[in-house]
Order: sequence, then C-alpha cells, then structure tokens
Amino acid sequence: MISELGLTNQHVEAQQAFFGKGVSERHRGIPYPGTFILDEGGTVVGKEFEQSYRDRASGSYLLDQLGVAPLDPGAQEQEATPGVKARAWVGTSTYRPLQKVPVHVRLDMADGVHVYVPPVPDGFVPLSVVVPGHEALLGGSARVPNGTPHAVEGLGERFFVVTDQVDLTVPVKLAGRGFELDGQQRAEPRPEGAATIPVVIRYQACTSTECFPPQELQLELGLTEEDVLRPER
Amino acid sequence: MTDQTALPVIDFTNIGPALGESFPDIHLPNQNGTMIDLHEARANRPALVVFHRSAGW
Repeated sequence: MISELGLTNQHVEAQQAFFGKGVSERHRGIPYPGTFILDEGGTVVGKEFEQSYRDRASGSYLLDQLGVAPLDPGAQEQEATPGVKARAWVGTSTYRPLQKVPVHVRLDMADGVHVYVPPVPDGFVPLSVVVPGHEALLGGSARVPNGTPHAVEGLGERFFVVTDQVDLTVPVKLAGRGFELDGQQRAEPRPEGAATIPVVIRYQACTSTECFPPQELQLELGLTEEDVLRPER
Repeated sequence: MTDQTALPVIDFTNIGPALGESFPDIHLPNQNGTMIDLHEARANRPALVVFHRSAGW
C-alpha cells in the first residue's frame, strides 16, 4: 500500500547518513513519515511531511490543522490597548522533542475597533506574531490572514484591517534532553525538561475616530517535557 | 555530532496523493486482524492518515 500511494522513502540512505547512521534491512520499504489531512468528503486538504524523519507533528498540531483548537482557559492575556485583548497559549501542556506543537494567539477586538494587517503604509504597524527561536527552540512567524480594505478619511493610502476576532498559529519545535535541534547541540540541560516559549505580538489598533499607539506584547508560555522512549543506538 | 552530509530537501508536493485529490480507498487490517475500510470508518468525518517510521520513539 505504501508503494501504491507513492510514499516509499527513496532518500533513506541520505537521511541516515546525515545523522551518522547506516542503513539496514528494516529501513527498506518504509514510507516518508507524515500525515494527510482529509475533510469530510475524504479529500486531501493538507499534507504535513517533515524533511527530517526525527521531526514530527504533534497531535495538538494536527488537530489544529483540522480546525480544532479550543481556547485554553489558562491562556495568558494582555489588554494593552482599550478594546483589544490578546491571548496566547500552547496547544498542549507537554511536549516531546522535535515534535511540532502549535502556539496559538487570539486577538479579540471590541465593536468599532480594528487592527491593521499587511500591507500597511510606512509609519503604521501591521499585526504580527513571532516566536523567537533560541538554542532549544525552533520558532517562526504566524501567517496573518488577509484583511478587508479600509479607507481612512483624509489619507489616500490603502489599508487592510481585521475586526472582531482573529486566530493565528505558529508551529514550533523544541529540543529535549539528549535531542539536538537541527544539528545544534544544546548548551545545557533544562531542569526537569521545562521549556519556555517566548511570544511577541505587535499590532496597531484604531477606531473610526482615533488611533492608539502601536503595541509590542511579550509573553512567555511554559511547557514540560514528556518522558519519551530513547531511540536505540 | 551530525555528519557533514546534507539532509536531502524533498518536495512533497508530488509525493503521495496531492492536495485536492480524493484519498484512495484503503483496506488494511487493524491490530486485531479485522479488515478496515478507511472511508467507511471515517463515516463522513474529517480524518488524519498518519504514516510513521517507527512506533518505538
């Protein structure tokens, strides 16, 4: 069935060599590791495959791809701008090394408040969500949704905004005790495998009559490493 | 310490069923030896079809 689907891994030897390992009979015929996401009709609506067989999507990340991402009641909140509440949480309370987990950010905007999204004219700050990486964390940036066109009286430039509520996700990967992250050796082990995920949210909100100062929110989310089976060496 | 050989960069766009395609019919035995039809088991619900290299780690 693996070969019928065209999934037989043709790169096993190169992948093994990258990690300084050889190939044995048990590697023959194995598939590329990954996930197909099917909708209600059985149509492929997503494919999650990693370049390294050591990297995997977590269950929480895959559920997020299916649109199942419930708000964590323990999410961190900040309301730096009147009418804009930002919340951030990780889609799981624990992590396994090299698994892709989702970091969620939700912005709730009161009636009459909008937030700019790219592209914006010079001098304006568009919405962005970034998880800065560090030695044990491979971060990234969220894909910001397209906004609706918005005209500002007296200004000839084009603006795009979001209103009401917007959800953004940044998939991140963490190293664990004894696991390298993309070939980078961790400098020192963390106590009890605890991980800190920094999240930086930048935005500028306005109403029809005033604009608020741009904001940069910095939050830190925590995760605990799960005990995992060690790979055979 | 990683080997100096580069990790191959694979374009998965054309590997396996493509986005927008119907996932093929699959009939495979479960852990009890009972044959399972993927689409019948889905019962018109979304699904994840996972291929993994090892269940040992």
